[in-house]
Amino acid sequence: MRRQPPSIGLVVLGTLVMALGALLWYLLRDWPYAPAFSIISLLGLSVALAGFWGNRRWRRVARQILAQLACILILISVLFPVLWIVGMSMDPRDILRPLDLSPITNIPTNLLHLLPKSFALPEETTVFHLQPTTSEDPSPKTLIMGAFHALPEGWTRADLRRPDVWLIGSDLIAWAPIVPLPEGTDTLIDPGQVTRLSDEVQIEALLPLEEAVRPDGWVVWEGRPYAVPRGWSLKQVGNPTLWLLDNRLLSWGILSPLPPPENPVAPLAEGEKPTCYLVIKEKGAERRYTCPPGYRTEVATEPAYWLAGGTLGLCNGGQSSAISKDNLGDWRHSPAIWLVGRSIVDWRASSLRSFASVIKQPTLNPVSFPQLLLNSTLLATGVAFFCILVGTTAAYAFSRFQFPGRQAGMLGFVLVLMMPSVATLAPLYAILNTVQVGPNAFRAILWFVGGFLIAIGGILFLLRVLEGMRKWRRRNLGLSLACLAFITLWGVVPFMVPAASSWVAQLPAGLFGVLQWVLVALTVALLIGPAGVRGLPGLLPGVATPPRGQPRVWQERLRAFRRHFQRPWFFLPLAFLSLGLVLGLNALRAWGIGGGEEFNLRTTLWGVGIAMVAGALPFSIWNMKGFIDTIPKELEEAALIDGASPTQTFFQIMLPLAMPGLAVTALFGFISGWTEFVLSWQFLADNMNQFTLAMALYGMQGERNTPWANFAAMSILVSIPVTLVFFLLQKYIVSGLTVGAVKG
Amino acid sequence: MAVQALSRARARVARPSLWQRIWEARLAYFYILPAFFMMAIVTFFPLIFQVWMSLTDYGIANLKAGEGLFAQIWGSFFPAYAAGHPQASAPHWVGLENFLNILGNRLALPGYDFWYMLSFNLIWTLINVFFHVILGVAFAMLLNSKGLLFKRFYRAFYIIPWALPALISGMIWHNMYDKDYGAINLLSGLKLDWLKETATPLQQLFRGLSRGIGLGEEGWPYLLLPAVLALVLAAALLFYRARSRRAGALLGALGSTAAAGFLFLAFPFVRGLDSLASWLYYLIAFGVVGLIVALFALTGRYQPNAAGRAIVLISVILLGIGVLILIGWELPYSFYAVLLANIWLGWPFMMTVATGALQGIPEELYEAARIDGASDWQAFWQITVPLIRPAMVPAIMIGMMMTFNQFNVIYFVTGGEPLHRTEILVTQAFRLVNEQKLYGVAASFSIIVFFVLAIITIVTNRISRATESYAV
Repeated sequence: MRRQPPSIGLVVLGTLVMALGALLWYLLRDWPYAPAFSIISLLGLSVALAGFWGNRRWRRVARQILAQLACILILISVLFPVLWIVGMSMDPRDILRPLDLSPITNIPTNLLHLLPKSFALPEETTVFHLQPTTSEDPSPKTLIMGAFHALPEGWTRADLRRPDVWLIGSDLIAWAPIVPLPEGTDTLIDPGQVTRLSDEVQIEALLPLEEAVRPDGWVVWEGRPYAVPRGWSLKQVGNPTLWLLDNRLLSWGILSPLPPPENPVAPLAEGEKPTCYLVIKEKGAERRYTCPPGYRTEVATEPAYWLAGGTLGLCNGGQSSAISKDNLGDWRHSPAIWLVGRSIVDWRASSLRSFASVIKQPTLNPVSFPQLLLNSTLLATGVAFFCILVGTTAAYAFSRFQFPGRQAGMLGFVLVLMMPSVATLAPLYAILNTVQVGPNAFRAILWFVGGFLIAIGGILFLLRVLEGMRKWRRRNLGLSLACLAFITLWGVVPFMVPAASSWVAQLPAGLFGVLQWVLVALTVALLIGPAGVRGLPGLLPGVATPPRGQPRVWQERLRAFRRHFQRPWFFLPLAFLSLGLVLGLNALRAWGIGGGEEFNLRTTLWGVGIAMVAGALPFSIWNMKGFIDTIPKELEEAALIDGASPTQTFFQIMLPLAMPGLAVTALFGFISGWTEFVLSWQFLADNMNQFTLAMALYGMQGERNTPWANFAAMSILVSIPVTLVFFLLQKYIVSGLTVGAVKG
Repeated sequence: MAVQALSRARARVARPSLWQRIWEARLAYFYILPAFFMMAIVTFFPLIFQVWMSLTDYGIANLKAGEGLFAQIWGSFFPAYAAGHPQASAPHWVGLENFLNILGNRLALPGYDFWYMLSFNLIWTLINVFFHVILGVAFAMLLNSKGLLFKRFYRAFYIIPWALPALISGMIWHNMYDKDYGAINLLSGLKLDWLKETATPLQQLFRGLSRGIGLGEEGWPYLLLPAVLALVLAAALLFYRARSRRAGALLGALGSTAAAGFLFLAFPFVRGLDSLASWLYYLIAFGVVGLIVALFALTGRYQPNAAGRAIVLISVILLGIGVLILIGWELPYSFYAVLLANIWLGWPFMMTVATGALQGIPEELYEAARIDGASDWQAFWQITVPLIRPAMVPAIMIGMMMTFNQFNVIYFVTGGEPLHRTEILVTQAFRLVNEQKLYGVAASFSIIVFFVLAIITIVTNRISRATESYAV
């Protein structure tokens, strides 16, 4: 066989791979399995050799090896964060995080909720109170919480190195850079300001101090630290403890039990090996302490936090090796798969405990995991379903019809599509916030809208029936008139709500119930009842038509009517209409009864759903239009030529063909609803029961005291459904790309 | 001419009237009705409401709207009405003050600087999309190579970054950049606080080098001197000897950029970061305009005369200086951290699009090229690039929009740290609502963002149309 000239590329790349293997071996030389990296070097060597001496076949193998190595490298870098989070979720050593020491107080801010309430601020800390300025006040302004506030006289914000505490209305709001005041200036809180308590609240929780005593303290409310104003002490009145400052409830004591502070925490002796010890960080250096006497670490399943010499440390029950930061260097001694996960020392020790604990209690808030799951699912499916329901016909119209205003409509879509959802946050927040009605009124609105949609469905069916009844052209007029009357009714009802609702509300509940159930029963009977019953209404037009001519002719006509009315589909539209009517009646009644507890649309999933539809609907219409554009027009034209009506064409030709498109659009809607954060975080902050999974996850990251393993487990649980669906529908999504579909 | 006018007139006569056409298309309107009804309430009304909000000082106090939105709107126009209806809590009409405050950096928010944010946002977008496209096309080509085993397996798994919700990936990356226990520091052995470190890597490098050589901490600009001299010399040579004037002009611009940048950095009186920061945005703003003009000149749509060329040259120089300062002196480690995260997140999208386009290229083209003696490199530029361009241009535009508004990555990975240096427009807009509760200002901010997006869309549209003319 003829020898080929050496291939420089293969030789160079092979040498590089060899070097890479050697480098990995060197870097991870402490790891017992590090020699395995020599395989990479050997592969590189064989590639280089093949490049130098090999024939064509060997070179092909060498190229294959290089490509596979490259692909595996890419795969590892793609999977790296995934493996990391999976590894972390199964890490048996709970949390190993440094304490977030506050720059002023040296208090670990991530553990504030565990601090004893009487924890003293260091001597040099000062708490300053800022007052909002009046409009004519020319003093230097700064903006806090949406309002301008004056800096205290003699203060500037120039120095960034010495932050201090600002207090506004007794809320600690910022670590703000303020240069300290000159001596003797007093800007402390006026105790008179804090005593404005409402009548229902027990005020013995917070008592004014004697002069000379100053045990300042801390409380945590909604995850934020608050300082107790100077001049006030805390009096523990048992559990829960209510604090009230300026009419605001600051804390209800859900603090975990701490060892008594008088228990001394002694430094470890040289060579001593305690069953559990405590790490305390002091200006970067670490000191270890034994457990306080009398504290049972064996029974603690969660990490325990202890107080030692004014600083908090942490300890994991019984697993002393897990606490030491030095032992973290052991990550190299781990099986290869956990290299990228977070240093599980022994994979056999991995546990799914964090998953269990996340499902048991996802966050410190009292909201449960099933509730979060339900909220997320409702939001995601609701948005997806609604967008499909409302958007499909519009997409079809934009794709297939030429009509005046089409260009303007498309331009509007493009404009709206360009706006990120953050950009309409402010107006939506303000608008939805104004919808504060009683729950019955809200129910009324829902029923009304639902009835309206169902009625529209009924009318659509009715149109189909009418089109199918070419022979009964004269009857069409009557049915059309009935249809028109119904639409008018729906249009007029909102304007006569006060009158009609009071009238309906005056009906006794029993009578009302009977009325609507009779309506429902009638509908059901007409739909699926025996043929005789179904044919009954056929008598009406027969009777209503005055008999002309021979009785035999009249009987003939009557029979024809009855035959026609016995067709099962004939009453489907009527059923829709009457269902709409029932819902409308309910709406009227709920509106008339009114009352109930005040209800803010903004703080519910409904509000978030509406706000999401604002962004998702234009996108879905645009996306579905893209799909429909790709379906050949000839199919519909053929159907039209064969005598189908446009509505029939839409339902029988277009919808089945566009199904994949609809599915993908719904998937995009679902993903965006499932991972929605901006709107829900802004809207639902006050209403914990409406939290979604994504919000809870972010909350876990915000609460720095949440174990990382729990955070990892939660993020896996949240991402599994969408990722799975994405993978299952991957084929459609990729084909959807050609028509401009993007990830929602 | 006359014939055309006649036919046009006839067409006008023959065209049915507007009412006729509307009546004929009544089914279309019927189909659109539900969506229109919904969007009018939920989408368009808030947009209009936002315009009104942006002209008022809408704040927390106005949220307790007792008498509804319209009383508020009415009250903001007529103070007398507002005085008579305190329940309506109408905001004050402030005109364009919000806009002026935003653009003039007069919002007293920590680290707020609109023009820095805008330029950062643009640079963030460009760098990201550049890497997305390069990596996406490269990996798509690797996966498309003939005879590669396990192709389908790799293709399926490379989509993972795209399939994971961006929110989750952002949080995971945030976690991985943790100073003490994050993956990046654990694996690399670094002790770097990626997300909080305020010094930029270039600053640290230059200061360290200059200290090591003995020039002192502040002597670092002189380290640039040899490189700048070489660049200027090369540029001057090329300027006089270049075959085409256009290439010469661009290279001259490059050299002068280096020289001027050196002068800027070397002299202490302009070096202080505070003074640089205020200069920066004028440089960048002016430069961006020049760059757009330059792009049109390059695509042959605009033939500049001598003065035009000079203006383009100067703006490109200024842009170069601005970008250099921005990258070297303003972008901290967290920028590179979040960049890596977003590159990881974004390339599979480009890869998927490129794979689709690559599979459509017939193999015969490459064979013909090989027979004609073309190298692989030539085949790539002459066959692959022109043929995947039609698919890539829209994908790049979508990618640019997505990256420009990449809320999830920025907010969850860095959260704007350190000192709001990695804040982009959408995260700032979110902060205005979520943290500052300045609804009026947030509305004006969103309107400004809208105009920025519109300008970007128009410009990219123009450029992509200009590049499309370069077809096969």
